[in-house]
Amino acid sequence: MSWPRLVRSATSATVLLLCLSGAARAQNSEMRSAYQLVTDGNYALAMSVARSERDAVTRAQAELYVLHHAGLLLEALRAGLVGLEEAPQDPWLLDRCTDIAISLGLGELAVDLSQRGQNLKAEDERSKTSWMLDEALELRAQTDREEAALLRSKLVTGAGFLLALMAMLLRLRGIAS
Amino acid sequence: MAKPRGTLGLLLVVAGAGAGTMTVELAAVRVLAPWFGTSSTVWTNVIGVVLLALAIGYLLGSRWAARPNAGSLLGWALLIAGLTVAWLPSIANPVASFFVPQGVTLDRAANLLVWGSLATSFVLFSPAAVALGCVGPLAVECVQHKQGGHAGVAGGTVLFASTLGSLAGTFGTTHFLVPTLGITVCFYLSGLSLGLLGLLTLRMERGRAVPGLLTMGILLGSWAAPGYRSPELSTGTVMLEQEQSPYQVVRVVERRAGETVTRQLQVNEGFDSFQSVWQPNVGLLPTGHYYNYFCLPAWWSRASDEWDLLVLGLGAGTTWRVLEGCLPESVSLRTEGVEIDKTVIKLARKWMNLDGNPKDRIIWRGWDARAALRQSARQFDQIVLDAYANQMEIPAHLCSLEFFSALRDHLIPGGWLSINVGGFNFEDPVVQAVASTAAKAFERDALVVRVPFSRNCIVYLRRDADVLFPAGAGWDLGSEAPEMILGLLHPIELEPAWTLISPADEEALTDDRNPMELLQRDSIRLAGSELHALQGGR
Repeated sequence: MSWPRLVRSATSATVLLLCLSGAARAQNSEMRSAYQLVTDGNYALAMSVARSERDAVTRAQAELYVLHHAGLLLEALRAGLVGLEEAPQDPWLLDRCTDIAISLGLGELAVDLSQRGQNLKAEDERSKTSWMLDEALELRAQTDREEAALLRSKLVTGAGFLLALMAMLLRLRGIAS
Repeated sequence: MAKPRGTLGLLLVVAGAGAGTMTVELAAVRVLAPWFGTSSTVWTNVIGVVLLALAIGYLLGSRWAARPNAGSLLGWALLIAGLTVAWLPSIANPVASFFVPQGVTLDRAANLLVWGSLATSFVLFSPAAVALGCVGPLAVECVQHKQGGHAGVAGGTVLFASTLGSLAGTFGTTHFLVPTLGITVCFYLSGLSLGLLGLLTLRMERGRAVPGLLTMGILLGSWAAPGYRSPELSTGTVMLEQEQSPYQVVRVVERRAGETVTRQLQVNEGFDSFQSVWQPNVGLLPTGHYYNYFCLPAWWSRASDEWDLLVLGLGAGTTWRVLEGCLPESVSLRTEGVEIDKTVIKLARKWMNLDGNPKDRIIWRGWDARAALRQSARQFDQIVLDAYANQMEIPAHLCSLEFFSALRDHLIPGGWLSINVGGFNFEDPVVQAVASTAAKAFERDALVVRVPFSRNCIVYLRRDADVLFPAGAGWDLGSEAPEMILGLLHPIELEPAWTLISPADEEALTDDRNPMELLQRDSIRLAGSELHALQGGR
C-alpha cells in the first residue's frame, strides 16, 4: 500500500526553479556550499555545514534546503518555521515553507505563510507565486469541507443513537407497566 | 388446537427475511468500501448499527404482535424492508458523499472513517434493519396463532427458519451475489424477494392488497433508477476497469500528464492511496515511490549472476518491474510473487503487463502469503513483504514473530528481508513494532529508512548478517552503481532519514498477541497530531 507521494508534479518544476534561484541568490558561503554538497549527493556533510552556520536565518535556510531536497518534509518545515521566528519577512523562507505546508496538506498554515509572502512582494513579483496562494486557499477550503462533513457525521450519528434510545425507553416502559 | 395451516409458508417467509438481513449486513460493507474501506472499524460500525436497528425492530415487532392484524403487519414489514433494500444502491453515493467530501487524504481521514461510516450506516441500513427486525416477533405470533401451543415452540421454529435463511444469505452474498452480479443487482434481487414475500404474506393474511401493490411498484421503480456508483475520480484520472472480488473492490485508473502515463491499481479507494503503480518502462519510478528502495539489497550484496526474489503482496507486480529495470546488467532476476486476490492478478495482466517474461515468473494466485510460504521449500536472495488488507492495515498474521522467523528460514544466509510500512517517522508505533519484532526474529538490528517525499518507511534485515548502514562498511557503492541508484542512496544517508532498531525485548508482536489494528489507528492519529502541532494547533 502506498500513500500518495508528497511531490506535487504540477508544481515541482516551479519549486525546483525557486530552490535553485534561492540558492544561487544566497550570498552566504555556507549556504552556497551546502547547495553544492547537495548537488554532489553529500547530504550528510551538507547538513553539518548548514548546522555550523552562525547566523540563525542562514542556518535555517540551509537546513531547510538540505532537508527538503532529501524529502524530509516535516523536518524541513520545522527548520523553516524556526528561521521565520527570527526573520518573519524572509521571502525565501516564506515561499519554501508555503510549498512544503501545501505538500503536507496544512491548509491554514499554508494560507498564512503564502499571504505573508505575497504581501512582501511587488505587484509583478506576486503573479509568479500566486499559484501557491491559490493552492493554499483550496487546501484550506478542503479542510473546512472535511470538518463540516465530520460535524454532520457526528450530528447524524448522535441523532440516530438518541432515536434508538428513545424508542427503547418508550417500549421498555410499556413492557414494565 | 388450531390446525397448522400456512405455517410452512410463514417459515419460508421468515427464512427469506433472515437471508435478506445477512445480505444487507454483508453487502453493506461493500457498499461503504469505496468511501471508508473495509477496516475492522467499518465492519464494527456496520454490524453495530444493524444490530441496534434490529433490536429496535424486535421491540416494535413485539408491540405490533399483540394486534389482531399481526399477519398483515408482517407483510408490511417485509414490503418496507424490500423497498428500502432495493433503493439502497441508488442512494448510497449521495449519502456517503454527504459524509465524506471528495479529495480527503488518508492521513486526515481517521475521524471521518469512524464517524462518517457510522452516520452513513445509520442512514442507509437502519431503515431496512428495523423493518427486518419486526419480522421475527410478528412471525412468532402468526406461527403460534396458527399452530397453537407454547410460545417457545413457535419461537424456536421461527428462529430455526430464520437462522437457516441467514446461513443461505451469508454464503450466497459473499460467494455468489456480490462477486458475480455486483452490488446493484444483489440489493435489487434481495429487495425484490423481500417485497414478493411481503405481498405473499399480505395475500395469505388477507391484508389490503392495493397499498401493497403500490409499494411494490415503487420498489420495482428502483430498477430504473441509477445503480450503485463509486465516488467520483479526481480530475485527469480515467477508470480503465473496476471489478468486485471476493475480498474488495478492485480498480485500475490511468493518469496522463503530458507525455507521462501512469496507472494505479486501487482497492476500496475513497481516499488517495494505491496498491500498485505502473509506467510503460521498467525501472525506477519517479521520486516518492517506495518500490524503488526494494532494489537496493541486490546492489548492497554486489549481486553478479542471479537474484532470487519473492514478493509477498504482489499486487500488480510493481516491485518486479522496478527491479527488472535497475539491477546490475549481469544479474538475471528470478521471481515468485504471492497475491491473495485473483481479481488483482486478472486486472494486472490486462492493464499492467504483469506477465512479462513468464519463464522467470511464478505467481501464487489466490494464496495467502503465510500459507504460500508454508508450501514453498525455496530459499531466496530477497523477500519483499508488501502485504496490506482493508486499505491500510498490515494483516496481523503477516507481522508476527512467528511469521518473520519463517521468512528468515526462507532466505539464504546473507539474504535480505525488505518490508514496506506506512509511517511518517521512526516514532510511528507501527514502524517501531514491525521493525523491532522482525529484528527479534532475525536476532539482528533492523535498518529502517524513510522514503523521501513519502509517508512510507522500508525496514531491511539480513539473515545471519548485519544490515548495512550509512557510513558503515559496504554501504558506499562508489562507482559500482549507476547515478540513479546513488540518487536513491544519498538522501537516506542524512541522519533523520535512517535509524537502526534493536530487537524487541518484551513487546514483540506474536500470533497470540498482536494489537496491529490499534497500533495502526494510533499511527494515523500520531501523524495527524504532528501535522496539527506544526500549524500551531490551527
